[in-house]
Amino acid sequence: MSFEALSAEERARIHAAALALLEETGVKAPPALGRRLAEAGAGEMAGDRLRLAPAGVARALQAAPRSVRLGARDAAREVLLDGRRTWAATDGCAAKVRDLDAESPRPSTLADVARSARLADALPEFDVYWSMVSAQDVPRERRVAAGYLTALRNTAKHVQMIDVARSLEAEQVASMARVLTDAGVVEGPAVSALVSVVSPLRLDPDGTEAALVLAGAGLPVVCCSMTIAGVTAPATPAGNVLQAHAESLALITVLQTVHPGAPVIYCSFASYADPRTGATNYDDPRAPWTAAAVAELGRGLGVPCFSSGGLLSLLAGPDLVSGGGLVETSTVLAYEQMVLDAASLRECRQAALRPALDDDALAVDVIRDAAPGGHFLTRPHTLKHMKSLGLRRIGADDRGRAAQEARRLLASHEVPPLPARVDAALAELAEQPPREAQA
Amino acid sequence: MDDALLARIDATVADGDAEGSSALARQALQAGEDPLRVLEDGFTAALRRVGERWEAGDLYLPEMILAAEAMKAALAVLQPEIQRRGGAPAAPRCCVLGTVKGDIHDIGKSIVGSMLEAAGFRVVDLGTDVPADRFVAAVREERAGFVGLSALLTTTMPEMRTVVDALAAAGLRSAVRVVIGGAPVTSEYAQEIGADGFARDGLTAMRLFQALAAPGEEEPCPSRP
Repeated sequence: MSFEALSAEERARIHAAALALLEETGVKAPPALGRRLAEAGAGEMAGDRLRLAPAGVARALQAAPRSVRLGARDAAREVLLDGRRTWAATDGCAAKVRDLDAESPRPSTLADVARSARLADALPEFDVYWSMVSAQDVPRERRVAAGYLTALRNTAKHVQMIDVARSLEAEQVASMARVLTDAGVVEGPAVSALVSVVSPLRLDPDGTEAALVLAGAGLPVVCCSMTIAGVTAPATPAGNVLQAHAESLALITVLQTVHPGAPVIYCSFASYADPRTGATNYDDPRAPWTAAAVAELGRGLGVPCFSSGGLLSLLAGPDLVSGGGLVETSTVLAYEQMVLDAASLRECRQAALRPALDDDALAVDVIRDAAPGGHFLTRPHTLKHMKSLGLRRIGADDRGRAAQEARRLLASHEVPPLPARVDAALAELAEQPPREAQA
Repeated sequence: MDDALLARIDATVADGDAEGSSALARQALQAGEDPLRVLEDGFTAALRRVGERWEAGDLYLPEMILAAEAMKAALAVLQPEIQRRGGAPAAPRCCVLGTVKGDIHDIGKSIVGSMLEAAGFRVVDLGTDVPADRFVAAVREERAGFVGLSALLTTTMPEMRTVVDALAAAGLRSAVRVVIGGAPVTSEYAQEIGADGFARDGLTAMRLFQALAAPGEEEPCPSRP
């Protein structure tokens, strides 16, 4: 099936408005980075604003690869973002966990990174493991590396970090990824990372430096915007999507100008504020259109794109969607929610398929045979088509059964260990605090 | 002060009309009204009523914030005159707010600031990416009784502990109530780092600060001279 959130003309209008915004208003950027971009001809620095020239943005988009590979320990589960299918990632990065038998959340630990990675590995609906929780029982300076190593030990799928916030952490993670590729454990980029622009229109100095380190190492960077309409972006869906588009373009332009050809992924999780409290409301009725519009804008750029999940988004065909497993506005990991969201993703994928309309599907003969009166339950046609869909084992609201399933998978699912030599090398790297902390 | 003036102040604050509030404050002074009474019986009371309507779910967040801005505009006119006459608004509870070092997210903290102003606090907003020593200096300089720390990232949360420790090292910890907030923060984390409380959003932050400032809990803080 297909769905069009934006016509070609509307997409062009939004893109043109984003280019004008980046050229006239610009983005707040660290001075050194801004000067570097200006010297490379991507724009000009005026005060603390980096004003990006449309030609600079166009050059960046031209330099960006059309497809991006996300390597995995299990080569069969490698992800190729090339516009041919939509892959799915878990959600992240929470600081709290609600255990299967608990009412209230507690702070997340390294053991939760392990459990969530193993459960994501067991659920075929998820193709990419995001760093779902932060290991708060690990000292800050070793937390990102410890989380990456633990995720690697517990999933053979691609690991995408969303908490790499400083260049030193990026260097550490890149070194670990290099160990994996040098040893032949992972072919292609062994890690990718999501870096977000701070809305409205500000490049996070530390996060952008981290993104540059990763891009320089050839590791894919998700160039993300997380606008909240009404608070950090205009209250209208169109304005929200426009600003998010401009923000993602700004980060892509920075990375491509400094490291042309580095793998980047266009991304936005544009959301809406609760009108009374200002808190993010992921259930806003405009969210499905927004996710689809983001996907269409990304596809129009010709680079891989990443958007929120949901039926309309899947119909728009982004390369990657999130999320699964978090509750309470993505601040709390709940293991049964991972199972529920996997089921929901499976159902959305089915709903996005256009049903067959051939003779067998129209079933005129079957109706003739059974009707008037009668029923279809015993017709071979019925069982054949019911089986093609599969049994619905867990419904979207079946929290009890989802918890049972999560418990079963956590108890039984095994992930092949990393080769001992590689594991030891990674552990050694992960245990070394980044240089700044050593100093 | 006559009822007509009070009604106009009430309407101007409810409309979030900063220019109108400023003009009304000037008119009241020209008419010989006591600036302290204009502030407390007029603007502060009007803002309190807006806050009550917002808490009851009758107003949108922007209306609440615009009302607080209108109140601030009036305060800018009235405050110098109050001080010239040697007076000070009653119980001007002062809160130093900021997003901790390494974190440049400011909207959550700014919403809390507006809420606190609406609740009658004097707010000193240090902005974002604020190192611990600036919090310490501001608490000392402003003689603040309250500190609000914000962090949106799990990676910057540890800076909250740095601020709490720095306040203790400066001998100020017992004089201030520290509330932390931000998406990754928990009440357990607040306990762990020795903060006085945790708030998940602007409304709970405002209620928590109010509870901490309740009679018997209050740390008076004079307005800046």
